[in-house]
Amino acid sequence: MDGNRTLGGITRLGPVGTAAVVAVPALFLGYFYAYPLISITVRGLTSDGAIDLSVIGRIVTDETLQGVALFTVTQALLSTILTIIVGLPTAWVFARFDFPGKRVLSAATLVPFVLPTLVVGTTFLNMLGPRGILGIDLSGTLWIILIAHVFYNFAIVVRGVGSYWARIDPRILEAARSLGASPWTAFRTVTLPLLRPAIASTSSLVFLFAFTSFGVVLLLGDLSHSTIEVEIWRQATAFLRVDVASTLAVLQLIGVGVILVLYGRFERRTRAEFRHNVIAPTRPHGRRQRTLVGVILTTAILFIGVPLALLVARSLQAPGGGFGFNNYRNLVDLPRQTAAFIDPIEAIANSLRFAAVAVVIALGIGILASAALSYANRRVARGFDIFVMLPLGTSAVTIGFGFLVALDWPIDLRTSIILIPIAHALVGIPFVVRSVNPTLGSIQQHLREAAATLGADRWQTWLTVDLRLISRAALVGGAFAFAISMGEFGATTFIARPATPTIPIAIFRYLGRPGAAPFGAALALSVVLMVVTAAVIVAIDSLGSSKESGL
Amino acid sequence: MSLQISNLTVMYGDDAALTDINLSIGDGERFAVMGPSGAGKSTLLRVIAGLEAPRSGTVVVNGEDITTAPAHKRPVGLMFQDNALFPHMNVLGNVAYGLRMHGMPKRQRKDRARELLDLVSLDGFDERHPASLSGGEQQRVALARTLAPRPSLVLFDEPLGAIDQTLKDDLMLELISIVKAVGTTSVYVTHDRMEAEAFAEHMAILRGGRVVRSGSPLSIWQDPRTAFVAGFIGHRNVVDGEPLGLHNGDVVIPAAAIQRDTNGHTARVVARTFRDGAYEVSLDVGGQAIVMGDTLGADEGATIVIDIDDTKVLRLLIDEV
Repeated sequence: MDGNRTLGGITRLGPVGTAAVVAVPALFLGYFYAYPLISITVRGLTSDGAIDLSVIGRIVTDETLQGVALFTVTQALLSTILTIIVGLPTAWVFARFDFPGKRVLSAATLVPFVLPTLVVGTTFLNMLGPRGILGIDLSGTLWIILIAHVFYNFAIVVRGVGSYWARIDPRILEAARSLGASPWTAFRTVTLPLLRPAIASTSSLVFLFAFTSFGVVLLLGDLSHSTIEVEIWRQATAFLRVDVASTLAVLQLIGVGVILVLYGRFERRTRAEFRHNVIAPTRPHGRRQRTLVGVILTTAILFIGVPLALLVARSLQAPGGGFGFNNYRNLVDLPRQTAAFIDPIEAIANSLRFAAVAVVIALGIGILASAALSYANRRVARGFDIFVMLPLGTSAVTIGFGFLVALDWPIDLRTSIILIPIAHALVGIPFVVRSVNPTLGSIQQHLREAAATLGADRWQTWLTVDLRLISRAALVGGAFAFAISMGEFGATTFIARPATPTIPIAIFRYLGRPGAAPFGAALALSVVLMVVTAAVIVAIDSLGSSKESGL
Repeated sequence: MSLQISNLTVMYGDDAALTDINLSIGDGERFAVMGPSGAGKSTLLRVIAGLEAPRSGTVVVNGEDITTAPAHKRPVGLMFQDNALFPHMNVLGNVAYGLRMHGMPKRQRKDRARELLDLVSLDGFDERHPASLSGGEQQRVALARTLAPRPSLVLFDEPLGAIDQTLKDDLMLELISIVKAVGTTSVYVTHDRMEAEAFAEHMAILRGGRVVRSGSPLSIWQDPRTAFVAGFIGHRNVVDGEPLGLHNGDVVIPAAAIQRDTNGHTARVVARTFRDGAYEVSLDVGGQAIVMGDTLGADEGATIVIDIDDTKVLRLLIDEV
């Protein structure tokens, strides 16, 4: 018997307790995440019950698919390099300097990243597409995809590299300067080498998102500018070649796995090397520094702001020129004029309903999973942690496709609309866990012991202490899950029924139709989604800050 | 109610945190457990509270063996050093928590909680949140919360450890009067001998997970038995008695036993310091450090002669631990 066993206060559970807390989230993730992926893998690598790798041969020799694979890697690599170059100056400004409006700006840089990728696509289609507001058509080129990816991933570099940049002691740079290094040489020989692990981990994340890019490439690319992710979707839905789609999905899963392993390694190294505290940012001093900071911030604001402003402006354009709310009025009026048109109001209502259910599922499973991570046997918890996080790295199309392939057993769920919020929740759960888990871990064990000595059993302690203390963190995670659900497109395209379209599905359908009215409706709906996600960020921001002021 | 601890041993992995502890605490008694850090004091409290399970031995309260009872089913209250107040509840919510867990109706537990807040002089603090309270106020809330469910036994884990020295004496007197008023049996754990002696009628001194001495503060002071206990409870001049011809072993030489004389031991004045309102000198007597009150004014470096009245010397046993 282990003498260190705790009777009343909550420490790690024994085998039975561990099984109990792990069971529900493990079954959920096992059935809705692992099982579909395994099914795809089996489907992709076998035929008629025997291992059959001939599909791989066909894929490898297929010139179109070769092109897709090459393009996927090339654009991801270029996107990553460009995003780092564009993001670093802003990361520097946010890490080092304090200026009026910093908090608002910092939240604003996050908007593109939380924006549904379909809306990012629409934004650049609006700006640089065939009907582009600037009069230049870059659609179907590498450039527009790169610009959209830089726009989308900008915040990762600003936050990811910036948070570590803020930990580099400026006195090291001053030392380099006093030893005769010019500012540029000091940056090249001191700052950059110190930042290398942070840049490496951030790059692998940007690469991952560009590698599995769906909404952006679907809208802005063409047949020769396509990613594996888009190709899986095309093969499965347009050509109904499930075997090719499955094999592509397996190949992509392997790629994602490699990237995630690299990311994990870089991330660990980064955390190991940046143990120091954040150095308090200062006001820029001197004319040169103020100018530099001003120029960088203005560029960043324009880079983020102009595409979004143009989207809003275009959505407010009236048919005869001038501004008006025609596009928004059309959301209500259009369906009555054309029967085949998806009803936008219904799409909004569907999205809200699905999001509500997705939030409930993500919170339920996420909180249970967090509890499992905190209380289960330590070794079980470590493995489970990785399992819970995996859906975040898995492409949405693969998840949606997997649902279609696998979920006809034991009962056929494939036509059930419950799959939509479940798919959304899969991506939301990691956010809930990442938000709740640190808070749960920071609860003083003494609080639970105090509850126990005051007569609370384990369950009462969990309800009155743990659950109450994590409620705010759970809300933050739930808000993320909500935003994700509202904008989710890749998985939804596979499982949404014609009768239950969501906002992103409606946007995609409108964009595929000729005429100014559907295009205007797509813009208007995109703005609606943008406002919703921006509101969620504001909510998260204020939730986060009121936590700091203490309870 | 009474508490009997018999043959209690607690292991952390392969290390013994407590070894064969035997204690008997009577009904309504104020008992202190003291010892240096790492002696196992807090472990002992946690075992009594049910937060830690012993390897062997029993904890018996009022004749009932509660060794394996879970913490929430024991009639035992525990006050933590860091208060462990619930940050998400106001003062009233904190104090009423234990009553809530015991199923007391809302109306009654509010009244009872207010009664307790009154007892600790915090009436009117109902709606305040723990974070807005001073350290002393938080401590009072924690005390009220611990006492609210009327535990038969109250355990204090260094309750004044985080309190300013200037506030400590007042809080201690208040704590004693409240504990007396409630009439509960109590165990007070501390490394501070002043706190232990002020609080307790009886005490036990722990070292390396074993009880090395127990009794009333006065009896221990008068007969510390070992050099460790003598030093720990504040005796000065705990020295080897053999070179001084006093005792074949360690001795305590009270300051009152030392006088300057014309014949006796030759001592060199090492230092002269001011302490508690008077000067004292540190002496080197044949290699042993002895302190005595400086009544005649001796200079540092001077050599003086002292006489030790060996009827006042406390003779100690050989330290076993």
